Formats: sequence, structure tokens, C-alpha cells
Amino acid sequence: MTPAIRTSGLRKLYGAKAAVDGLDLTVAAGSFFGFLGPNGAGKTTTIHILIGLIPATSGQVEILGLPLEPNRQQIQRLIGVVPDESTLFDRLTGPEFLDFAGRMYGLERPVAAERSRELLELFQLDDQPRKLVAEYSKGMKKRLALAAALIHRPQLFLLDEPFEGVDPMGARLMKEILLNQVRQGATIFLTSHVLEVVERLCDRVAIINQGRIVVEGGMDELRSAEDTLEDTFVRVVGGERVAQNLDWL
Amino acid sequence: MIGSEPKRQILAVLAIQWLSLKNSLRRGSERVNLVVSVLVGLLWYGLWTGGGVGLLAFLILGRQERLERTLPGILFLMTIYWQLSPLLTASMGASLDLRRLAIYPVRPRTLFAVECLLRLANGAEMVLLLGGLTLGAIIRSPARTPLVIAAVALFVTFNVLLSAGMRHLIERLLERRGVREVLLLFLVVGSVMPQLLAWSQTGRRFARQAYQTFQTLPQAVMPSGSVARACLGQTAGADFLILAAWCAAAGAFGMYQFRRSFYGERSVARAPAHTASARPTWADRFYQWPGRLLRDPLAALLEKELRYLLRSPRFRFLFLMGCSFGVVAWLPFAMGRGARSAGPLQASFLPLLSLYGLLLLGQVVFLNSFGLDRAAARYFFWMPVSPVRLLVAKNLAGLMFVTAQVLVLAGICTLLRLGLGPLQVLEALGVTAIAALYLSSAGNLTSILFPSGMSPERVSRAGAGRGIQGLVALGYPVLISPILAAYFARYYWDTVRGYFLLLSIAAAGGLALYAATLPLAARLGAQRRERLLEDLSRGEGPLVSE
Repeated sequence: MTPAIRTSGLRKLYGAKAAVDGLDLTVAAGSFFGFLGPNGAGKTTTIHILIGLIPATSGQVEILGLPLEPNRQQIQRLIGVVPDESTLFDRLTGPEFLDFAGRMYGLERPVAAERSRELLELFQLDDQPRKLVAEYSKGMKKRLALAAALIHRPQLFLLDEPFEGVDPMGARLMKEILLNQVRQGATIFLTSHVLEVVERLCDRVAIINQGRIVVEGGMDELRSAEDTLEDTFVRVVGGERVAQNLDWL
Repeated sequence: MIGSEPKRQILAVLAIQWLSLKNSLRRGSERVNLVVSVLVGLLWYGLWTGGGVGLLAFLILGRQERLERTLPGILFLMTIYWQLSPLLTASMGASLDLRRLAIYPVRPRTLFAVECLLRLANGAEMVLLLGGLTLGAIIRSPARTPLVIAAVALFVTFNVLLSAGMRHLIERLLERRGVREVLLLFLVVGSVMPQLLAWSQTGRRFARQAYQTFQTLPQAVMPSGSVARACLGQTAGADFLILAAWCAAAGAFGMYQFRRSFYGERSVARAPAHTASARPTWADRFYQWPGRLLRDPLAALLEKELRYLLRSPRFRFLFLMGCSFGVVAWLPFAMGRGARSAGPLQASFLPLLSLYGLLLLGQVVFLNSFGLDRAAARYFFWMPVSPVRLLVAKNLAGLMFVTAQVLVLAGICTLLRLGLGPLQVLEALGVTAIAALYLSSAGNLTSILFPSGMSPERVSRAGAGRGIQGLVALGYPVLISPILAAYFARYYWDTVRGYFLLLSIAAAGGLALYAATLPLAARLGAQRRERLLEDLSRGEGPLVSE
């Protein structure tokens, strides 16, 4: 079966510093893949490369069996993205934004309008249809961003910290929707710092540190009776060092 | 006297601003922007220095009686300019970003000191004029040097303190929906009024009375009067008490307004009252009309631009400015003495106004067309839409607003009975569309190469004030020179046929230029999307300025 994502020797340099340093990654189609790492490890840069937002310095990327270049536009039709920071147009209302997103993905206008309405209902954002995105809370913005990523029924989702700032009810709703997508055959590539969420949702995990994958495996391989995912994470990224006591602290 | 801790805090604020600037200069585009900004600044302040030299000569050579009559008025106008020019030019200049600084244990008084320094920098034009005036007064009578310097220093202090308060008051008012529109209307009417008064007999009579009223104002207690007397050797001790009292009052006002901004919750322009109804309103129908004529994704992009721009207070402010201040600036030419003789300026009044409006609006819709999208511009780059279509959609939206502006201007001219016919309206529409071709050709490139994120909410910032866009705005007459050549032929050689011929050539040239630059801009956009997005979402230092 064609993997949903395959990268080989992926590098992204900023000056002399490698944000992503020879990343070899294979994400099986239909999997819920967790992509973890400490801050500055290269997670967001990787996602930005995968969605065609920034070019890689070197290396190969294949998404859904297609090389990213020169198929960027075709691939973009097949993926849904929730970025790390809000990229919503804040002077549009929620329904207007979803309608816009649907049409940009090539949906017929009535279809975009209908799906927009249904998604707003599903994500419980339909009670104030004239509210501007600028007035949304952070959690509402995340829910709206996920709704926009779903509107064209993509085969692959790239989600960068989708649960950040979302309340427990909203997070639960989002998790259920995402699990349902995987059950229907979609692939999800997720970054999150909330390891409990990753443990609950993902069937496979890669941990990246300083631009390189330091460990990759099934969820059962990365946690055991003794170790939680957090223990494994801390061990492999070298975070076990206990903070030194400072005289003044 | 500033204590050591506040001093450290002020220095820290200035230091991080310097570091922000220095770090941004590591980038090539920023260095280009800086060089261009310096050149534009030299030109602008050079003009004001010329004004200062004029005042210097006036003080040295002017007759005492004439100086006594005019100097208080000149100083009064300086105060007006200092306080209101940021609003009229749609740019408040640099200011402290209180939202970021308020989380630190810093006293408002400390930050207010920095704010005052910034207001002094923003009033540099008036400082240059006052420099000339001071020097002239000293040369006129060297014995009065200390008194003149003291009086002018107090006058500057008064204006700085007042403008610090005014800035925060105006900014808060402009952030309130409803109040903002009323304030703008008041400003527009207030600005048009002197012009209206000047060209009607009743108006002229009224203006004379107003001038006489100003003369009878208690000059003895006005700061402008006190400074004028100090410069002309008529100072009494009371004048310094009066100036000190004005400074104290302005300081209290400034500090009060600053505190309100510092502690107060900044309001975001609110959406209309929430309604559960999902029925389309008339506005929705307006936004949706491109969808009836065009296909997606162009229609979707155009609809988004219409909604987005019209809901941006900053864009609406520029649109209103284009519709109002152009009229104010050019009205004397159209209505002045001998205006009915249909000279070039009168006959081409509407096209002139429209070209001015295009320049104002063009800052946002053409020269920096991704500026208001800021971080959301990323969206365009993971959507399956070609950059050419994206730029065309943005240009079409810009053209629509420019067309709307021409129609509004035509309406205003009709109301002012400027003898406008349908042919002149058509001419203005045609000329503006051609000029828009040139501006969007340049703008597509500057939007990609020199993008600058702007807040859609804050009306107090200029449209595209940064170096390259500013330079394009300054070079606007050169950019539209093919159109100006057509007008030159029309009036200098009196040939309508030649005018239309040259205008047709200008249109063809504009189309060719647009066709050549569009794919280039799209290609550059795809190549440097990373840099473009970074520029748009880049944070600033503790000072915000655009």
C-alpha cells in the first residue's frame, strides 16, 4: 500500500543551522501518526515543508504517492491542514470562512455552503453565525481551522498542535471527529505536546530532536508497563537532567 | 528628575527597540527599505527645513507690526498641525505597544516619558519650523535669547504633552465602532468647511468674521500669543506663568489619556449585534455578486477580498480619506478665482481627484496587497490555487474599490455643483483604470518583494508607509507619466484627438506592463513564499510604527 507520507534525506537549513536534518519518515496510509519533539526540534518546519509552505533545502518528499514537486497543487487538494498558529481571516465570519475554504478547494458553491453549515453545527460553532473570527476564542479558532481542514474530505490531515487552547469538551469533540476520519481510511499526521492525547489517539509515533528522528515505533513499543510515553520521550530527547538549583531561586 | 529604576526601564525599552531594528536589518529587503526610508525622509524634512528657513527670513526681515499680526496665527496653526496632522495623514507614527509592555512592573509615568519623546519625534516638522522661528527671533534681537528659547521650549513641551494625550484619545475613539464614523464625518466636514466658506460670498464673509474672532481671542492667555510676544520682545512675566499653566494642563490631560489607554481594555471593533438568522442580508447579496459573473476560485477570492476589506476599519478610513481630503485639497483650484474659465485643473478635476484617491487606496489594495492578510496569507499557499489567480483577484478587488471611489467622488462633485457631465465621469473611470494598471503592475511586485503586515483594525497607521511602497507612492507621477503625457497634449497642444491617442497608448502600455509583471510577480511569490510569510507575520519591538 502506498504510504501517505514518505520523506528521505529531508533537510532544511537556516544559514548553517539545520532545522530538519536528514529526515527519513514513512507514514502508512490509514494510520494516526504522532510526530513529537521538544520545542524547536523541527516539527513545524517539517509540516511546513510537507504542505508546500516552505521549500526543503534538499531531500525527497512524497505525499500520497506523488512527489511534492511538481505536484504541489494536486497534493494540496488532497490534504487538510491545521497550522500551528491561527491563519484564519479574522474579518470573516465562521460560515463565510468555511464557505471560502470549500470553494478554494474546488467544491461547488451549494456543496460548500451545505458542508459549511453542517460543519459549523458539528463543531458547535453555529450559534452566532455573524460573529467575526477576530472575536472567537482560541479554542473556537482551532475548531474552525479543523472544520476548514475537513471541508473537502481530504485523505491526509497534517495537524500542528490542534488541541492547543481548546477546552476539554472541544478537545473531546475534535478527537472523536479525527478518530472517525481514521476509521474511514484517512491518515492523520499530528504534532502535540500533550502526550496523553497522543497516547490515546495515535497508533504510531516518531520523536524528533534537533531535526532528526531519534525514535520511531508503534505505541506499544514506546510505552511499557514501567514507562509511559512521557518517560520514553524525556529519555530519548535527553531531558532527564534535573534542573540545577540556583542560589537565588 | 527620573529615578534610577524608571531610567533603567526606559533604557531597556529603547534598547530592545534598537535591537529589533538591528536584527531586522540583517535582511536585505529591510536594508533596502531603510535606505529608501532615509532618502524619503531627507526629502520630506528637507522641505520643512525650507519652511524653517522661510520663517527665519520672515522674522529677520518682517515689519514689527506685521509680525505682531501674523505670528500668533502661525504658532496657532503649528499647534493645530501638531495635534491633528497624524489623523489627516492617516499615520500616527511610532508609539509604544502598551499591550506588550503593560505586563511588566513599569509605571505608566515612565512609559509616558518615552511616549513624549516619540511625540516630539513625530512633530519634527514643527520643531524644524520653530527652529527657524527661534533663530530669527534671536537674530532680530540677540539680547532676548534666553527668553525666546525658554518660551519656545515651553511651547514645544505644551504641544508634546497635548499630542501625547490627543493621540491616545483619538486612537481609542477610532477603535470604537459608531464613534469612529462620527469622528471621521466630523473631521471631513470640518476640513471641507473652510474651503466651502472660502468660495462663497457668505462663506468669505463668515471667514473674515472668524479671523477677526480669532484676533479678538484672548491672545494674552493663549500659548501661541505668549510665545509670539516672547519672540517679538513684548514678554511679561505673566506670559511664562501662562505657558507653564498650559504645560501643566496639557501634562495632566496627556497623562490621564495615557493612563486610560494603559489600564483600559482596548476594544476591538465589534461585529454587529449577533443575530441567529442565517438569511442573507443586502450586504451578503452585494458580496456574492462576483460569484454570479466569475468562476471559483477567482470568485471566492474576490468575495473574500470584498468582505475583508470593507470590514477593515483601516481600509474604510483610507477610502473615506480618498473621498474627502482630495476634494479639500483640490477644491480651491476648481472653485477659485477664474475657475469657471475651464482651465486644465478645473476641466480635469474629477480625474485628478480620482488619481489622488487611487494613490491613497492603492497603498493597501495594490502596493501591499497581502499586508492586511498578515499571518492568514499562509492560507493562500497551501490552497490549490495558482499565485496568478490570487494576484488577479486582489487586483480586481482593488479596481472595484477604486471604481467605487471615483463614483463617490463624482457624486460629491455633483453635489458641489462643479458642472460635471457623464462624459467626465466616464473619463475619470477610464483614466483611473489605466492608472490602476500601472499601480497594480508595480504593486504586485512590491507586495511580493516588500510585504509588510498591517492590522486591519488600527486606523491610526498609514497604508503602506514602509520604504519601497513609500518610494513607489512618491514616484507615482512618474509611474503614470503616460497618462500625464496625454493630458499635457490635450491642454498644451489643444488636441482632443491626440489626447485620446496618447491615452490609448497609455492603456496599451499599462496592459503590456501588467501582462509582463503578473507572471513575474507570481513566480517570485512562489519562490520566496517563505520570506514573504515571515515578513508578514513578523513581530515588532516595543514600539509599533508603520
